[in-house]
Amino acid sequence: MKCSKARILLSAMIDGEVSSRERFLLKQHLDACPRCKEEMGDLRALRAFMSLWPEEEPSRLARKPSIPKRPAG
Amino acid sequence: MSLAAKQLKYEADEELMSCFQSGDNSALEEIVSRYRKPLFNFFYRMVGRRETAEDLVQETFLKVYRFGSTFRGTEAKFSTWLYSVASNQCKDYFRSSARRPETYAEELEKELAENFESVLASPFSSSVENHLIRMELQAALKLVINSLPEKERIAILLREYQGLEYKEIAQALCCPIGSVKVLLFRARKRLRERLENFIIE
Repeated sequence: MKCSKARILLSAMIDGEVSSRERFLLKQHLDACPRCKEEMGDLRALRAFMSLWPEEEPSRLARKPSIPKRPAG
Repeated sequence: MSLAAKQLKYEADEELMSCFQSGDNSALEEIVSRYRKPLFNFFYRMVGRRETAEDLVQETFLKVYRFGSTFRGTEAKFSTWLYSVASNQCKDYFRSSARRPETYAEELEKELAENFESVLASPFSSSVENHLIRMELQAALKLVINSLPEKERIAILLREYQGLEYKEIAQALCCPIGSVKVLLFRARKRLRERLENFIIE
């Protein structure tokens, strides 16, 4: 497996979106490629960094989105 | 809370949409209460302006009201369909001539200045210092996410913050799953390059 393909799969792996065959091939590649292995740590660090942006409450909480009334019948 | 309203709270989204399609508006109200906050955060992260995000939430629910009859629970999860509508809302917003590209950075600068002022007004301590550092890191993250190409930004937000699976992101963006993999890979590559000085492993 080439590094370019491995990097795309690494990104999918942290999302749990690789097949068991892809996981097997990726593991083989990582055992032989320290730079791609390092990439895994970088991706995890990025995910941790992105969690710094927490969910916020809508500011106009009192104003619920309005649903038009349907005509009766 | 009425018995009917209590029961609605436990229904799946798809079941609620089915009730709405049969004429029950209270089912849509339950959908609104479930998705108002996640949709607001999706739009806020996309556009960077709270008021605009709230308007987009309102417009999205109006679309659900108008076009909800076209939703088929057998073909897609409701959340996927909803984020597909929301993603199109974003595309329309960015296409509109009224939006200037620098708006996001300007808004962020204004928000930061206001937050800095309120933090600096409190007595100095290590927690204040930590708070300031956190604010600076958040600002960098917001700006860098905002600098991503639109499709990459939608994909990474749907994945990281809304928790959608690749199949769902593909449906929301009308593209193959393989393209989602590449979009997320590219988005993460750009984010890492641009946040290199901020991320500590």
